[in-house]
Amino acid sequence: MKNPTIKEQSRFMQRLPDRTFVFFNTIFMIFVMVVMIYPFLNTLALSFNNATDSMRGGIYLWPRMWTMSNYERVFRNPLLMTAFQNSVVRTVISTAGGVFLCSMAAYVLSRREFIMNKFTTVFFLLTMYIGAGLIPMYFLYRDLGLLNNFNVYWLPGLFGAFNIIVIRTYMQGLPDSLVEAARIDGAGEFRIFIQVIFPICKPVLATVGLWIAVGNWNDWFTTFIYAPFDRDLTTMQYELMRELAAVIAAQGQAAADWSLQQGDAPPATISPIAIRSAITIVAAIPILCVYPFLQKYFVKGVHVGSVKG
Amino acid sequence: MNSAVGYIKGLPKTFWVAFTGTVGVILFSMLNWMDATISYGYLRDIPVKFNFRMLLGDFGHTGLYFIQGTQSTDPDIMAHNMRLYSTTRIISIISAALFLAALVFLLFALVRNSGKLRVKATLLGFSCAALSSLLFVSYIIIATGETIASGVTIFPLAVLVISLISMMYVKEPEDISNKKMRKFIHQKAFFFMTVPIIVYVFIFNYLPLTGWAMAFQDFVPGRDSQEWVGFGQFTFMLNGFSENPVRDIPGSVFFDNLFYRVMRNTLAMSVINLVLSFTTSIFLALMINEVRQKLFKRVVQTISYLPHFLSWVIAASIISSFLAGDGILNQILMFLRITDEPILFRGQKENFWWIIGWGNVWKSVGWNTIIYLAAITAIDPELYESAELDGAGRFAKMWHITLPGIKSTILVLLIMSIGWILNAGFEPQYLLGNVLVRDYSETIDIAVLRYGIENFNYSLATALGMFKTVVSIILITGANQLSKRIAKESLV
Repeated sequence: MKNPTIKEQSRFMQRLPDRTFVFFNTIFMIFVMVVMIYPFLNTLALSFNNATDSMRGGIYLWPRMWTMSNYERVFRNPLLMTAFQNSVVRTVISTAGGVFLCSMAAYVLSRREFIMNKFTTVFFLLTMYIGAGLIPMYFLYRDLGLLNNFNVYWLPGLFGAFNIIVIRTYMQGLPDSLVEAARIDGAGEFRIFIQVIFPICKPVLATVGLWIAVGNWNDWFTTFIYAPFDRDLTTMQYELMRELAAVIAAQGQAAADWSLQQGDAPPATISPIAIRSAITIVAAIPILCVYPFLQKYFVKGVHVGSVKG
Repeated sequence: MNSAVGYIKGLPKTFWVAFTGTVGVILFSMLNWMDATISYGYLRDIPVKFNFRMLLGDFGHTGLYFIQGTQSTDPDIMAHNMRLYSTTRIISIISAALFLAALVFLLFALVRNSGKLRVKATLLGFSCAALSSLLFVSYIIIATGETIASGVTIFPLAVLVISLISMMYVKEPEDISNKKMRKFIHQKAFFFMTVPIIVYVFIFNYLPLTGWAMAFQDFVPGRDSQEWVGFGQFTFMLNGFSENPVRDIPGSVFFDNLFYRVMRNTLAMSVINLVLSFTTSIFLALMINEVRQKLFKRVVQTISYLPHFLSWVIAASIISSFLAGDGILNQILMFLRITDEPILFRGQKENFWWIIGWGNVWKSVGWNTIIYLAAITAIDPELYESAELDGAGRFAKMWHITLPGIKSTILVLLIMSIGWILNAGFEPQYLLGNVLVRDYSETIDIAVLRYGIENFNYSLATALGMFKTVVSIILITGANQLSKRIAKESLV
């Protein structure tokens, strides 16, 4: 991006079509922002509004009757608290473990002198394309005793071929002299990795860590398939899914009734929308608070991963 | 006293390796012996006589207890047992002899203070221990018919691992003449870093592939031996369910052309997704690129990423309340007098694909612009300057410089997504679908879930999943070739 000179700027001002373009483009950008953020703000407003009052509808950006009772109900609910705790614990373990394992694998793959480099690369990358599918995985987890077990949340997901590529590409961009110097100083490979490479890869590790954290935090499928009935192993997104599934099923039923009888008004949703909104906010806010600060990192990471992958 | 400490401190690294290795080998062999005698002797009420040979690793003595049905009176079984016993006994005697040799070598190495002889003895000792444990594993497998995963083999495997690790550390790499071996030992840190990951990946990514055998069976859980049906599941799948050559499935008495329906939905939603997400995200990237104010641009970008970080559960609830009878869309439509009474979009089959498509756009359009915006910044600014001199307007620059500048990125991404065309997604369809629209919402993944986990027809679901993977691999390989030829860039 070059800085426009004064001359250019004045010419710019003279161009009327340009100015209309900027005007409409700004309008368009505002429209995009509204579309992206409005549903979230609306949910936020609903979550702070009185539960019975919310049923009347008509709440958009600001709560009509302020209350914290929705959140109180959420945080007083032992099931939801278990879910929240499980979500946090699994996200932390998966992120820490995943970043460590992926970066270690990436470090080894980035060292061209390693004699098994080629085999390992192919062995790791093939996993991106060959998936056994749900049923064989289900039986594997059963045989490994992972069904209805907390370990299913973090153990199988530590490895990610795509993450490894992203980290490896970053590491390949580092100067070789770093490693050489450390080697001359007598550091072993593992120490070089931990003390030299790991710290300077922080940007890309932040990116991958964010991806893993988002994936884990937002995952409901694992609970749904591998631990659906164990109330102690439930997660935030799974509880939310059950909550919403009830609503969606009711709406589907409503649509079915509607198409059959034509005339009834669509029935109201089952559990108070304010409570659901509060759960949604609790399930969404941790990630939403983190990602803007990591933006400059993941923007780079996406670029590296998609093009070089 | 002091001299003793000094002596111990002065011992070379190789001594300690040999020492720890030897202790480990002996310890695990003892455990091994205890495990073998106790579990297979006492538990079967067979008196186990203590024998010095056993301590030294002659597992042949206890070997008979391993053999299934030892106490049988059936002459055939007895003859079989005796045959097994004589075979396994030979192996076990060799194994024991090797173990004895290992002990001798290692003890010799420990006693010797320095010199090449000790290094040689240590290496030999650990090799013998490793070989002995390998033989022992094979002996157990032959005698019991148990697999390698059974608990009995853990101790010999531990001996093997300890021996191999010790061998790596016992010698300074420079002393070894073999170049490859030297390199191997030099890079042992790499091996320690990769081998656990390789094992992990093997277990979680490659081992489940053996489950594909289910696709060629009529798999019933808990049955001792499964019935092999060849490609029966696949023909069954392709023919639809009216004629049922394999097994009756509860609830499928009516003709169910599952495969074609599911393929149609998957392909349709993939194509809609592809077209919508490509056009919208390229358009949005171009528009964001035209925003000159830095702060405003940043805010727009940050906000446009927001839906990407919401889970599909939340996205589905947002989409469904947007489309609900009293949702915003209906309010707008009624305000504009396009419709008089609310339309229940969620119940309309014909709109489901488009709901998924636009839902995907909402969720990921901002995120998808990242890659295009990055590609745009890589364009040479001089091109714009010279275009400006030639009097090119904003749209002309967009059309003639920006778009051609990101052409290769678009092409690569497009080819890549063609490879993934059978992955139409699972979550949005599952979360937004309902009974009314099922004929249009069911993708391959959902069908696998419904037939496999819900209806217990594991074989059919595996066959369906396997079909998807195999076709995907073919498509990806093709896409890669295409990309190599067109964009001169390999994706894989």
